[in-house]
Amino acid sequence: MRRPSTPAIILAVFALLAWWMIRTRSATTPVPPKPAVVAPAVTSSGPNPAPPTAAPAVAGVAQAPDPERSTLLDDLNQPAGTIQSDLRLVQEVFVAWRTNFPRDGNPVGENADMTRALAGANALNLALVPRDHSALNAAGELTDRWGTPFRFHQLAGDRMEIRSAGPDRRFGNADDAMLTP
Amino acid sequence: MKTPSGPHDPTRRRFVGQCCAAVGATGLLSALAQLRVLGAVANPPAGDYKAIVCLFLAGGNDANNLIVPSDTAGYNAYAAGRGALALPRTGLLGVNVTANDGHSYGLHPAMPELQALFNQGRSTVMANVGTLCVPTTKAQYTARSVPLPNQLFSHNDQQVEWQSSLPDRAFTTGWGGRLADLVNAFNQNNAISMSISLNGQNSFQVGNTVAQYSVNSTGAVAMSGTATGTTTLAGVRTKAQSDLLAAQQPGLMETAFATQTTSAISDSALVSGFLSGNPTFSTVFPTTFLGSQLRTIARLIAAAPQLGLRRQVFFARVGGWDLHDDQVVAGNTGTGAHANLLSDVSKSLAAFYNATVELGVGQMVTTFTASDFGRTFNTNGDGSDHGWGSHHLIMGGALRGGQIYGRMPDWTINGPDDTGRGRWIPSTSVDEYSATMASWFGVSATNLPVVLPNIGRFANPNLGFLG
Repeated sequence: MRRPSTPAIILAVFALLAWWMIRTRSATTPVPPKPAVVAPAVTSSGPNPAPPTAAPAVAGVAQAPDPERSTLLDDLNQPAGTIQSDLRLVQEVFVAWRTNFPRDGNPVGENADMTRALAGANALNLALVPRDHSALNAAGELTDRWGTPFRFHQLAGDRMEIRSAGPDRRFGNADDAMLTP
Repeated sequence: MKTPSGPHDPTRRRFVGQCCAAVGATGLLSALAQLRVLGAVANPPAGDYKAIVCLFLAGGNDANNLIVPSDTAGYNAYAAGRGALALPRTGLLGVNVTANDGHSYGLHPAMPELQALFNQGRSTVMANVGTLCVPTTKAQYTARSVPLPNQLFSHNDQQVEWQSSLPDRAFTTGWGGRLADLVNAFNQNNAISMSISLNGQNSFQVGNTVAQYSVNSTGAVAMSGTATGTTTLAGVRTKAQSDLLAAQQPGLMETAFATQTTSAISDSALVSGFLSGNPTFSTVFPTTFLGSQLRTIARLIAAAPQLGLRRQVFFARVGGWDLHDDQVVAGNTGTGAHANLLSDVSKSLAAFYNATVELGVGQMVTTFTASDFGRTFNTNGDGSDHGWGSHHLIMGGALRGGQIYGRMPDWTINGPDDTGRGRWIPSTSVDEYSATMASWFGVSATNLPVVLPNIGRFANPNLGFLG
């Protein structure tokens, strides 16, 4: 059997090199960074969420369709849960926020200001609270299972105390619920 | 052998030379720093003594009810915004102070002692002061076109920012600590730190060279279970501990620990000696936590000549101001939790001022309040929430009283000074407020940025409330 000639070998090496370079380039093409959303996207196995018009939109947030809907608060205010489990869910939202904004710390302001930020009015357009969540009231505040806005007590940039007024819907008495991290 | 061809080519000779130059430069910088200190404290007059007392109202005081407009138009605007928290106009304690907004003012009905000091010109209010990175308008706040303090409305962050006066960067030192670092050269003796805290470690007094020394409201914090002599177990233990601390330590960490512990033990013994006898004043203080803290401060001021101290910085703190609920008693808003706190402040501060007068240092001691933040002007039902700018008390014989300093906010909810719910944008920065006291304390205009690095961003490095 004849051995391949030198030009053929050189041609084969160049071809291999060219194929490898093209392959490498396509593999390293940068993709836009995605925020580290903690909650997994909802699958379409369940019923569709209520249309955006069913719940008030959070003021200042554009009504764009959510490609990745956060599930962190899916169980909030559900009959199977309790106020304590609700508080833990809301706390998880703040933890997720801080994971994505470690240098900024918690969002600041009143309930509506923070909810607006948690719902996507932030540098990453990260919506940890779905904008059509049934727990949002007309003022854009996140409410407890009795319809009273949670009170977000800013202890520190990395500590948020969450308070519920309880069934009587009045803060400052025995039926209040609170979660202090 | 290769010949060095450029400045980055290392040779042993070049390396040694650069090291020597670095060491020399360090010495030069140190000497320059000393010269700066000497410049700041040059030629203190004989008998010169000054003390600054920071009273921190932890939790965020609602100063909207500390001082209230009492003329008809002003009160009506106040009452409309405050709702259920509004104090009755008839109960306000009128004060003879002028304000640049044309309104007349009254103090909370629980503060008759401070009313007397206001009317003597020995106490007044700095209006709407708070943390700022730069002067900020509502339009700038809304557009976020200027940097804002980190974590506005957050307790811990705002406490630290008030005490450091550096709201745009991570904490390293407090402005009281930097002040002490600069003026400690005034003091003839460093046996006891010029920075003394009556309420544990705090950010305000953290310095680079002067360490804060904590005592409690009854005196020095002594090590328990110690005794002199070696006939008891406690005595043997004390002797053993003393020997261990005096022994040569193998590492820097151990050496520093031994030095600090030994120093704390000797400081404790020294301070206990000064505080063990009867006080040199007869003023009676309230028996509250705050009253006890201020009484101990008065005793430490009395001991300053024996301690060889010409400058002292004190820190006291009282909590309970975070009144989201039950701030006032419904139907009798001049009473309740907030009124009780203000009453304690009024009685304790007045006693402290009287004690300094009795000690002959009334002109030499300035007390000021600080707090996390102000509170919302409108109510959440029966309390108020976290705000921003607030009004603060200043007290002392050096005060140029008789007027309210700074600018009161427009009391309109969502008005030109409001970021929402009556969270006032400060019209005076903590930097300006603090710089005025630092200047009075002896810091030259040139050295003011050493104590308040951001002061150059603001218009008034001296607000003029101290003579």
